[in-house]
Amino acid sequence: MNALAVEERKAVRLADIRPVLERLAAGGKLVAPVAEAGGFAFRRVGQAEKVRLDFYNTAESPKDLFFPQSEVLFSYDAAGIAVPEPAGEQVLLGIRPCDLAALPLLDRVFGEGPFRDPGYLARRERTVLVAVACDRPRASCFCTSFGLSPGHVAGADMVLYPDEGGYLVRAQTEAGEALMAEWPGEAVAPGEAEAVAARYRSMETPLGRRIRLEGVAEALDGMFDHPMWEQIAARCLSCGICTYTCPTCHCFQLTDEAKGEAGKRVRCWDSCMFPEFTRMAGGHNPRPDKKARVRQRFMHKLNYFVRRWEEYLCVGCGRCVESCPVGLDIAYVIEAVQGVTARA
Amino acid sequence: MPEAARQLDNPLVPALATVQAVRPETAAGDVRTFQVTLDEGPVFPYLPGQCAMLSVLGVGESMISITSSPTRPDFLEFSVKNAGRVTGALHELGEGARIGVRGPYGNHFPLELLRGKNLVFVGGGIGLAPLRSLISYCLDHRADYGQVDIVYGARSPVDLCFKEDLFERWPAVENTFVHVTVDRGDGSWQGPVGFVPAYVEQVAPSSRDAVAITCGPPIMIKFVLAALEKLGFTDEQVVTTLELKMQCGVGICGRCNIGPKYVCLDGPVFTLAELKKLPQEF
Amino acid sequence: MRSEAVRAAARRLLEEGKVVRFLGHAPGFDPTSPFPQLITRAEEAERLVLDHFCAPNLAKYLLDYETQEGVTAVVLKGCDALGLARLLADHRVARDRVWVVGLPCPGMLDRDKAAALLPGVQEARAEGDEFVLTGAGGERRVAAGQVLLDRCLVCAVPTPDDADELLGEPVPGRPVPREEDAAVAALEAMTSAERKAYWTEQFSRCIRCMACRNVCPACNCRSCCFDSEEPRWLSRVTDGPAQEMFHFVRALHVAGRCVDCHECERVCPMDIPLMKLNHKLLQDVEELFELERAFVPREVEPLGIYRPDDPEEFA
Repeated sequence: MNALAVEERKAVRLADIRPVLERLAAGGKLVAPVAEAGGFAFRRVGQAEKVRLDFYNTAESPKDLFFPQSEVLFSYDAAGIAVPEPAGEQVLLGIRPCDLAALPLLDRVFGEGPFRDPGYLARRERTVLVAVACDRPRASCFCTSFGLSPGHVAGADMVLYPDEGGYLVRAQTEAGEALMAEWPGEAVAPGEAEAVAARYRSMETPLGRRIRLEGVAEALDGMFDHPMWEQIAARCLSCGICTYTCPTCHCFQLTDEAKGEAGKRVRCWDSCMFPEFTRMAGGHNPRPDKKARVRQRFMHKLNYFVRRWEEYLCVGCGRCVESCPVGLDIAYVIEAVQGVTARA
Repeated sequence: MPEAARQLDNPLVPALATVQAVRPETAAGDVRTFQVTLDEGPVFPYLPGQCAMLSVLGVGESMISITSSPTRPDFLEFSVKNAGRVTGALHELGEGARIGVRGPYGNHFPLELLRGKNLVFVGGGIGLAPLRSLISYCLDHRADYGQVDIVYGARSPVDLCFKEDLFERWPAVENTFVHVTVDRGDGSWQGPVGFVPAYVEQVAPSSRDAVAITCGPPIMIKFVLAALEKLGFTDEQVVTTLELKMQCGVGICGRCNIGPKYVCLDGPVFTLAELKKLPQEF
Repeated sequence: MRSEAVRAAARRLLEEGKVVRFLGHAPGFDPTSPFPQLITRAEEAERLVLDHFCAPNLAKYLLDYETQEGVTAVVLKGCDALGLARLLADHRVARDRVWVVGLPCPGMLDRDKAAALLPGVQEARAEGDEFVLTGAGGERRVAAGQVLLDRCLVCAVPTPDDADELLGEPVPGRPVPREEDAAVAALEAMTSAERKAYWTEQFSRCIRCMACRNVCPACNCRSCCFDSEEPRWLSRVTDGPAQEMFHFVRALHVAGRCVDCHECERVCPMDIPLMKLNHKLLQDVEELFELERAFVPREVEPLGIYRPDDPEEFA
């Protein structure tokens, strides 16, 4: 691995990005934001004109590309068990700083614990990440509260910075440089590229929403039995929107699909918000009510995960803010915890 | 970016295994013990208290404690109560059936803590299964431990598990005492009748230089803990196991955590002192 | 809009002891998505709001208090009240344990539409047939038709007809142009292959978050076949036939019981046009059973009775 610093990597200006999109789409490995009923989604794209770089955050995060909602772990028949081939290569174009920051958190879960998930790791390894610096934050965004910014692009192989009506494109890794080797565009001096990158890094989200995180994990250590959870849970619909649209939630279930002597075991997303999630075969359920389940979700993100990995399991992408049908999002809960600490 | 993963085995994919023998464990028929060997290679190394995920392909998986002892490494034994979809399907299986096994999972009984101590095992119903692994282990290393008392109870005589161990094998070992009770007797039962917690108080094992290890239904454990406290056992001298719904066994799927601790990784064995530090959500 | 009125009602009802809890709305983290707020003490009434963003239907929350003592007051719009009627008809809620604070509803805003018209919108007030949006981006005046929820554009029942008290004068229903008829007609005009392709495409986006079911007042079973793990009736696998299975079973289960509240569509994070399916079934029920306003709950539903002399031999 050649260890160039980002500052020394290739950077070019593209007044027109279409030829590049066409080239990527023709390669058959492109995943990019497209418009769908009511919003945007990351989909495999065959035609460049479908790509919408003017997108705002997709309803679903791109975690599905690494941790698919339904993934065959193995199939079986009378002859034995067969594990599917690892995923092929892909280019994920348009991942935003928040979702990019979610990947190292998932890497910890699936790659750094006592057990490593080969399917996830193969997909991570075989995906070239082309980030886009965020020029379209929404009112619900609060990534800056987590020390991120519209220009936080660590971990991307390459970054598109919307600039001067076109894009300044900067490689950050060898893979990024390789991808842009044959791209058109006029080379840019490192200083100029760094100046654009720095401008994005210093941006606030336009509505300036900032949530104070200091002390939240510590305060929650003593709040398991706080009456706050009852109030919060009273609002919850017990649906799984927050967990399924979240770029960092990763609960799953294993399910068998059988047809005669053959079948497969599939790993499917699951949600701690569902009543059956922890119900045991004999009927006992350690999280029997909404209060216990709502508490689990927020404690996991803001306390349990911190105790295990020293990071919050949230990147401030705002999806739960956007999509919770009853306005019960993590930003509110963090503020509520701060409120309790302030009163104490 | 994470390093190459292609050669890694997926921890969620079981190894194929063959049921070598099936033993009805209770006269009531709701518990069976499966003796299992792996189709490729020897039994994985494990310690008493650890569990494994058993698969009935096409039906699903269930986390079951290993009831055999690593001191007898030719096979794995699992005692399974018919309580649901997967365990029900397991009960349909006979000798020669193919299943999947992955593991071992979880921590194990604190062997270092137990070494040199008098041991008091308190089990109820199928809860004797994980204890049996440890009892066999300790009795196979008999010199390392002091007096061993095994207090066991079941709802009725037909629900007693591991009768051969209880009435023949274990009492034959030196300085080892087995005390069996049932909640309700029947015409043939000659032994003590009464609930396990009360019976523990009656047997009254000394807490001096002792560790108590208890496993059974949650309600029994609750009252056994109170009984042990009366007998002078401190929270550090009491070891128990927890059972929660588990699916991955590797601390990821999100079901079995109690606060920041995952029963499948950090458990299922906890001292009472450790349990008291956790949120009461189990 | 009616925040003061709802606070006064809550204060009075809790002080007089008429109710032991009051379900209303309170400002969320984002003022355009207020959330359900439960209060039990009169002094908490200050938290309540009632504005043009209070779209969530609170009727279904009554099930949470099914086994608890005392009367629950609940703020309901006309559409929400149909949801309550559903729960009453299904005997899931007893009328004498509910105090309905009815809102004659001037229409609720679609927060996505509002945010598109004025990014950063925080507030809205009605002025005649227009709404004035205000927020960080300044102020903008827009026609009601541009910013109301689709369901409010065709609302036939803005005022609850079974309220114990009303927060304001009744509002007349808008003549319903039945735009949905056109959508249903378009579906019916498709060949079955086209229809299959259409729904397969729509359902392929479904992430099975279950929000449509959880918000639906007609989906009020104590336990649901979709949740059952023993036996597991519905696979969680999202790239197979379970997607259609889920939506068609649900649509058929609520056929003749759907109250046309559109909450399923509002909550769907993937914007699946669920009401097209529900409207098709509502229309079929109206036609096949010669029923007017099939969305108004009745104790006995067309698809909920069995008669030995049913003309259909399949029945």
